Amino acid sequence: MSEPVVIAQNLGKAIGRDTILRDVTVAAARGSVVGIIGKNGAGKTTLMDVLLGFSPATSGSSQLFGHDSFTLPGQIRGRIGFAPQQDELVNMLTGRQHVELTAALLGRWNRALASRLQGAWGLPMDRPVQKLSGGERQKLSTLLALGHDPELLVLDEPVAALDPISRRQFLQELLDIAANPQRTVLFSTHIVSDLERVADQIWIIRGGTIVWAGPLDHLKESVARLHITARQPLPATLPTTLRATLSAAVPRLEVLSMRVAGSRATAVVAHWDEAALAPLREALEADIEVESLGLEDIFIEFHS
Amino acid sequence: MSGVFATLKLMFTAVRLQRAFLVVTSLCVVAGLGLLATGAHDGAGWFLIGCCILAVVLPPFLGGILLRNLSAPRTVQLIPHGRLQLLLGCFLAEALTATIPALFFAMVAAHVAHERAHLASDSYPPAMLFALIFVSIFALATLFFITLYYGSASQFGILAPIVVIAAFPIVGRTFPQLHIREFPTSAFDLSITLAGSLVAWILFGALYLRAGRISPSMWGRAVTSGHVTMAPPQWLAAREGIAAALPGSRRDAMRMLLTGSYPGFWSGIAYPALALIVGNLAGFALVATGRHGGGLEGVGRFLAVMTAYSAGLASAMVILPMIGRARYLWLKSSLDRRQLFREAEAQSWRTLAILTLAAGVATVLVCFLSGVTPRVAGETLTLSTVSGAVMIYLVLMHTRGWRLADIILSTLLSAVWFFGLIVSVLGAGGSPLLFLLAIQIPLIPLLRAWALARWTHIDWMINRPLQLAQLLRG
Repeated sequence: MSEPVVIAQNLGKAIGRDTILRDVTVAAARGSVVGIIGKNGAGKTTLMDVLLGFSPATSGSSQLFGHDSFTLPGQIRGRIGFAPQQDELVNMLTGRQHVELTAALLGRWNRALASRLQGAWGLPMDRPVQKLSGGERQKLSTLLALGHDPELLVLDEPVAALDPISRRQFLQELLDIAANPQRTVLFSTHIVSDLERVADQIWIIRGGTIVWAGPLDHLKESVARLHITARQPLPATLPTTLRATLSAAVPRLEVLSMRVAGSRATAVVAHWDEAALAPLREALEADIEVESLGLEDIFIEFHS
Repeated sequence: MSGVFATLKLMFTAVRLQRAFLVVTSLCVVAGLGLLATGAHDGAGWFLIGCCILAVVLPPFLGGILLRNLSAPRTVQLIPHGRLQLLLGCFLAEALTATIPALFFAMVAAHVAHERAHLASDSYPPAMLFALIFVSIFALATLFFITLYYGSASQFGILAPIVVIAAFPIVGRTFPQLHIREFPTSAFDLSITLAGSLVAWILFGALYLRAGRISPSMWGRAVTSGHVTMAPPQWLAAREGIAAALPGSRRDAMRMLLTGSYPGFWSGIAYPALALIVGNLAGFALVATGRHGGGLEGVGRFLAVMTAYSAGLASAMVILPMIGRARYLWLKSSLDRRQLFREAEAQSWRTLAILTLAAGVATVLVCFLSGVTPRVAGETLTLSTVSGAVMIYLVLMHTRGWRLADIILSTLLSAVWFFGLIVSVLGAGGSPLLFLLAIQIPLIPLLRAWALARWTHIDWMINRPLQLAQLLRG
C-alpha cells in the first residue's frame, strides 16, 4: 500500500451537546478512489469538513499529506480540489469569472482540461450563477475543484443534482481523472451503483462512526447472509444464544441483523470468514448456507 | 382553522429575539403586578406598559416579510384555504398587537384616575383611551405590514417604509381635510381610521388570495445567498459592461470573492458612493417638499444624522457575508486563518471608508441645504465613524453564532450606538460626545484582538452564511 494521503485517528467532532463524529479512524492511500456512503445526517459532510480543515476536530487527529488538517500550510491546500454539497459560488458572477478568479488565486490552471469539461458538460459560462440550474451550478462547482489538477479531489455528493446522462458523463470523467495513480479521490454519494462503478475503497458511516472501511471487493466478500436450518425448532431466546455463539466462533464477526422463524434463522454478518463455517455448524448443530450480498443490500444491512 | 392560530403564534415567536422578548415580558409583567400589589402604582403602570410594548413591537415589522415567506412554497396553494388561514392569522396578530398595549394603557389609566380623582376630569375615559390607542396602533401596524409585504419582494423595497413615512407630510399637505398628520381623537375620526384600516386589510386580502405564485422575501435571500454587496445591480452592471470584468490580479480575485463585488473603480467606489448620496438627497428633497412652511433645521439635522450613521450599518451588512465567503478562500488561496482575517479586515475598512466618505458628503450637503450648523455635521461624522469602526469588529467577531457573551456584547454596543444616534439628533455635543468617544475608541483594538483570536479558530462548519430566510420561515 502506498503512503496515505488522508489519515484520521480516533477523530471526534461535537458541536455543543451534539456528537457528530466519534472515534473515526480511516486512511486513504495515494491513487485510491474512496466512496463514502451513509444515511442522511450520518456525518459524511462533517467528516469531509474536518478532514479538509474547515472545522477543528474535538478529539483525535486528522492529517492531509502528513500535515494537520486544521493548520494546513497554503501550498498543501493548493494541492486539494473540493466541491461542497452546497456550492459556494457568488451569485452575481458568471461561470467564466469564477474560473478566472479561481485560476488567479491558485496560480495554476489546466485550461485544456477545464475547457474540455465545460464543453462536454455544456456549461453556459457567460451567464451569472444565479441564473444557472441546480445541476449546472453543481457542474461549475466541480469544474472549479478539478481545474488545477489537484492531487486530492474531495467531492461531497457530486451527482445529487445531475440528470442521468450528466451523471454518467460525470462518472466517466471521474474514472478518467482517477486513472492518474498520483491522484486520490474522496467522494460521498447515496447512489450505491455509482460507488460500485467508480470506487475501489468504501467507508460506511453510521451515526458518526465508521462501521466499515476497506476495499470494495473485500466488503462484498466479508458480508454474508447465513441461512441456518436447525434439526429441531429454535427457542425464542435463540437470537441471544446465536449471537454469542457466532461471536465466540469468530471473534471479529459482527451480527448486523437476525430473523428467526421456527427451526430456521437468517443472520447477516460482517467480517465473515469461510473458515468459520465448520465450527459454526458444529456449535449450532445446524445446516448453514452462505449467500453473498450486493452492495445495496450490504448498505441496508449495515443500517438495519 | 388550526392554521390560523398556528400563524398567530408564529407571528409572536418566529424569531429568537421575539421569544426572548416574550420571556422578558412575562417576567416583567409578574414584577409589575408585584409592584402594583405593593402600592407603587406609578412605577408599576409604566413598567407594565413598557413590557407589553416589548412583546408587540416586532410583529408589525416582521409580519409582512413572514407572510411572504410562509406563502412562497407552492404546497401552500394545495392546502385547502391555506392562504386564507395565513392571512387571518396575520390579521389577528396585528389586531392583538394593537389590543395588548391599548388594554394595558386603559387599565393603568383607569387605575391612576381612580387613585387621583382630580386627573379624571382632564383625561380621556379608559374606554376612549383604549379605542384611541387600539385604532392608532392598528392603523400603523396595518400600514407597515402591507408596505413590508410588498416591499420585501424587491431588494430596493427596503426603501418602501421610508417612502411611505416621507409621503405622509405630502399627502397631508395636499389633502388637509384628511387630517392624516394628526392623531384621531374624536369618535368620528377613530371610526374613519378603523374603517380605513379594515378596508386596507380587505383589499390586501383580496389581492393576496388571488395572487399567482408568491416569491419569498428578497431580503432574507439576499443575506443567505451572500448577495449583499457594494456592486451595482445586474441591469446596470450589464449595461456598463462591468459584469463581464475579469480580475486583473490575485488581489482583485481575492477581493471579488470576499466582497462579492466586481473589480474596478465604478462598482467598488463610485456606485455605492453615488447611490448613498443621491438616495439621501432624494429623501431630503421628498421630506422638504412635504414641509408645511417653517424651518428645515430639525428635519435636516435628523436626516443628516441618519445619513451619517447609515454608513456604519450599511458597512456591517456588506461585511457580514465575508465571514462565510472566506471559507471558499481557505482552500483556494494560500492564506491561513489569521491572514484571511486581515484580508477581511482590510476589505471592511475599505467598505467603511468609502461609505463614510459618501455619507459625509451627503451629510454636509443636507446640513448646508437645511441650515444646520457645520459643527453638527462634524460631530456627527466623528461619532458615527468611530461607531462604524466598533461595528465592523463586532461583525467580524460573529464567527460562532449567538452565544450569551455575543448577545450581551451586541446589546451593550447597540445601546451605545443608539445613544450616540440620539445624542447626535439632539445636537448635544460636548460632554456626551466626548464620553461616547472615550468609551468606543479604546474598544476598537480590544474588539480587533478578540475578533482575530476567534478567526484563528474559526469553524466554517458552524459558520455558514446567515440563515435568515429559513429563520423567518420558522
